[in-house]
Amino acid sequence: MTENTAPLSAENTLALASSLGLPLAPERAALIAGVLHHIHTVIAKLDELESTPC
Amino acid sequence: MLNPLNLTLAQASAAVAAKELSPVELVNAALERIAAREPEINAFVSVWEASARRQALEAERDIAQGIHRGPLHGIPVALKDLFDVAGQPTSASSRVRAGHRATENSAVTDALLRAGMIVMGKTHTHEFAFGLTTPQTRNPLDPQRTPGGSSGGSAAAVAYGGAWAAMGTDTGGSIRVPAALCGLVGFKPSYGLVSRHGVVPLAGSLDHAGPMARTVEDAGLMLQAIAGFDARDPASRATPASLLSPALHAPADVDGLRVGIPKNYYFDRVAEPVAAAVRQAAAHLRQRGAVLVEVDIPLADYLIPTQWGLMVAESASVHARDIRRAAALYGEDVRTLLEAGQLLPATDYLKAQHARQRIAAQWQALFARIDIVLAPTVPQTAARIGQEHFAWPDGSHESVSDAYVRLCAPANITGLPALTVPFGEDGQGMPVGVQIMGRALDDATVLRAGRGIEEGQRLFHPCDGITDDSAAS
Repeated sequence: MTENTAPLSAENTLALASSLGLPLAPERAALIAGVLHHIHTVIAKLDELESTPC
Repeated sequence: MLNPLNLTLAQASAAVAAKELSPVELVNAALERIAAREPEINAFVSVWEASARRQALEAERDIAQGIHRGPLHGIPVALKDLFDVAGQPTSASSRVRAGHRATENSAVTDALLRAGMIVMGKTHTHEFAFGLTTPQTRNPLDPQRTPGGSSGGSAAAVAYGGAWAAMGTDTGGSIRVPAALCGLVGFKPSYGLVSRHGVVPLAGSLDHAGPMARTVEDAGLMLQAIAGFDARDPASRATPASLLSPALHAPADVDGLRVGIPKNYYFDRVAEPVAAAVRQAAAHLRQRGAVLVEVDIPLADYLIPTQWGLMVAESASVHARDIRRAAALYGEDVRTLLEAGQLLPATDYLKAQHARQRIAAQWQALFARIDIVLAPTVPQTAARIGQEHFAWPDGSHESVSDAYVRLCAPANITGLPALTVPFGEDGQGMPVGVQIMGRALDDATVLRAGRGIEEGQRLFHPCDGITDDSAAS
């Protein structure tokens, strides 16, 4: 099974960044949310491996 | 009279040892090329003319007195501006590093200086080595095209004659991609074979340092000088005896070499001139006695997800402080990846680590029945400046960076040695790179196969007005 999550909202991205001490510019929040979603989605392909015995 | 620019590193070395050519002449020739090409190409961050001339005079004097340090003595070299040189800035081609000054040499710098090489200066990298195009630098073969990256300045400098060899780093193809796009040999050695001490990191478990040069023999000479255990690099490994042998530079014997030809992955979405060049290289090896074996690349669907999981997370860790302190000083592309990387879940990194273990184990099993894998280095030749995507015949589009990393990443994930050798051209005269991968720490076999492919090929001569009278032999 591969995860299929929606991108974070700009507001939630800012909140996440803030919680991690990253001073993300508000006007960049939507961009970063989209890029993060793309990277996370690519890596989520590995869920197929995690559920497969070695 | 010898024209130094017609000579490979090995040929120049032999001429220097025979006192037919002076290191001063080599440096003069390189500086003339730099003066002629730099305004257009911009390969160098800084050119160290005064110190290069001084080192050349010292080398000339030492060699005249019978003090010859070996095959690299008196040969000009360029360093990607990630390698520390004491007293000099290491810019990583980034404003973030403004004001930096190294307090000691990198391990590679020390090794090259011990071997007597003359450092011509520092070359441009895609910022922090985090990209495959080096946008500030042009390809000397066609300045309307990218030299590739991230070691694009090193490739461009060697390609136009500003040095006989250069050092690069490779986290997802950053030695092999620019070497292939500029008609050079580039070697990413086995993980741990060359110390990264004093090299600005990008992603520690994927980072490699290695040479770029015009021939496989030249790259091998460089590797022999820089390989070796260094306790300051936690990944460091001892040099295998096979790499230290003079036989490394003997005429290549590929009789009986088992050459794996991938049935999947490496020929998917690859431009026809590139695929044709690899087929021709395989046929060339077969004619010389190699045995071609069709192979399935294991876990191919998981290679790029694994590369991304490792690279994005580890680079985010490396830059965790600076991206919080000075995000506006990064270029937009690198800033975006690093900001997103800060927010990546740790579970994504762990998935990539688990996948890497399985991939590495299956590649090791693959090499039980073959000695090397032969494949394209990159699926397409040099993109035009500003080009963002390649369009493939199946109707898909792929970003230039994604395409260039796609066929190189497996050797970073597994740590296996991987060499690119120029072999043929596309329809527009741009070089094609053929990639050879081998077993861990069997770099000598990879180099031997590279020489087998290279022999009989014409060298790619990017320098204006240079005649091709120095085919590799």
